[in-house]
Amino acid sequence: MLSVKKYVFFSLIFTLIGGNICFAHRVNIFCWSENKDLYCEAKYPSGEKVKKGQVNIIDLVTKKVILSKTTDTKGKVHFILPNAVFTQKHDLEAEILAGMGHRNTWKIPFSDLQEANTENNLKNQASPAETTDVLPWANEATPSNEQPTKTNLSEQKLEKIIDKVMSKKLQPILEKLTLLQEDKITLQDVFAGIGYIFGLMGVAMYFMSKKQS
Amino acid sequence: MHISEGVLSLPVLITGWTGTVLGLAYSLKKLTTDQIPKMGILAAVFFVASLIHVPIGPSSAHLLLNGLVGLLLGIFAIPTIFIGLLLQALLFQFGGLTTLGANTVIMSFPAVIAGLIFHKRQSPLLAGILSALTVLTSAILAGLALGCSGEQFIPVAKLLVVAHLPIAGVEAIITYFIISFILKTRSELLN
Repeated sequence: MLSVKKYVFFSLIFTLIGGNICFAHRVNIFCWSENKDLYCEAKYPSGEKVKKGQVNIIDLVTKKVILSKTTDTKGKVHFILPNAVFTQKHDLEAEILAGMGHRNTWKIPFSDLQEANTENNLKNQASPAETTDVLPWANEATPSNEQPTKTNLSEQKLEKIIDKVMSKKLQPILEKLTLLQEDKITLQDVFAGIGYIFGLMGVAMYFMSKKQS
Repeated sequence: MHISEGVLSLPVLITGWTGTVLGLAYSLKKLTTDQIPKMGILAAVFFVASLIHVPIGPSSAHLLLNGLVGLLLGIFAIPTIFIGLLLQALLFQFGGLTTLGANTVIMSFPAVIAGLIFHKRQSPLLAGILSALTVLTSAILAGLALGCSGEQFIPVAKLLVVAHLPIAGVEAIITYFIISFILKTRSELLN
């Protein structure tokens, strides 16, 4: 009977440790922006996504919630920032409320938003005449047999196409770069904690023995 | 069941810290040298237990083992859990320093009560049941703390209790085997 009990106990311990050891239970949020789009992803340190968690975008100066949405099943949420954000030039903060007392924040400095939006602003500031112009090489004397679709492509259109392609290609890189900033729990942290506990135990025993003597 | 920074209201934070300070002062006054090694080992167990998590539906919950700490230490569970939570907050960013008081009360007070009940009648079965009840009482206390901080008490408490039901079951089994092992080999540890 005792051997069966031992077997059940150790099986339980090994199943738990071997199968499910991971780093619970705080919640993380990561955000990155592109033009007026703000992407956020919320997950637990184990890699598990926060489903249906509430994400609030807070203006750090006025302390007001300017946008609020819930995450999808992949723990992601997408916001389109209002123009007021770029006129007020305030820093923002993304807050995740994952329920059961789990909360975390991610600071979004205005400089990051500005950087992401500069390219977009430059495009908007360009004069319509300039943007509708045909590319310089399109005006050059072209052979009569050239395809019209190649020569009539405007600069604006070309920029838009490049922008779209680049956004598509850079999106996963931006996401990965942001997620790399996660503070992961290492084995050193675990051993450091155990070390602190035994250190404190030693200090307590020292003072207790001094008191007794 | 680590409540993060910025979630609890100021009165709840103050109440939590008051309870913790009073509990620490009382237990440290009663502390004897022979309790310290036991406290050290159980603080290490409690500290590491939070890294073992059980996936439950869309969420997940981690082992607490506060029931086991309470059964073996009684009133000394308060400083032991406090140290464990402090190091978890500093090294793993679980919970937070402002919520440390409330988290200590939530985790340690039910453990102390379980220890006091267990002290009257020591049996592995009772230990398992008390361990499970400690987890569930902690969940209700966490719900109460969140309820007093603006969230609706009943839905939050329900969610917390349901999320911790599997954990309570697992901890009951673990505690049953540990206590039966201790009773057979080193029963003086329970005195």
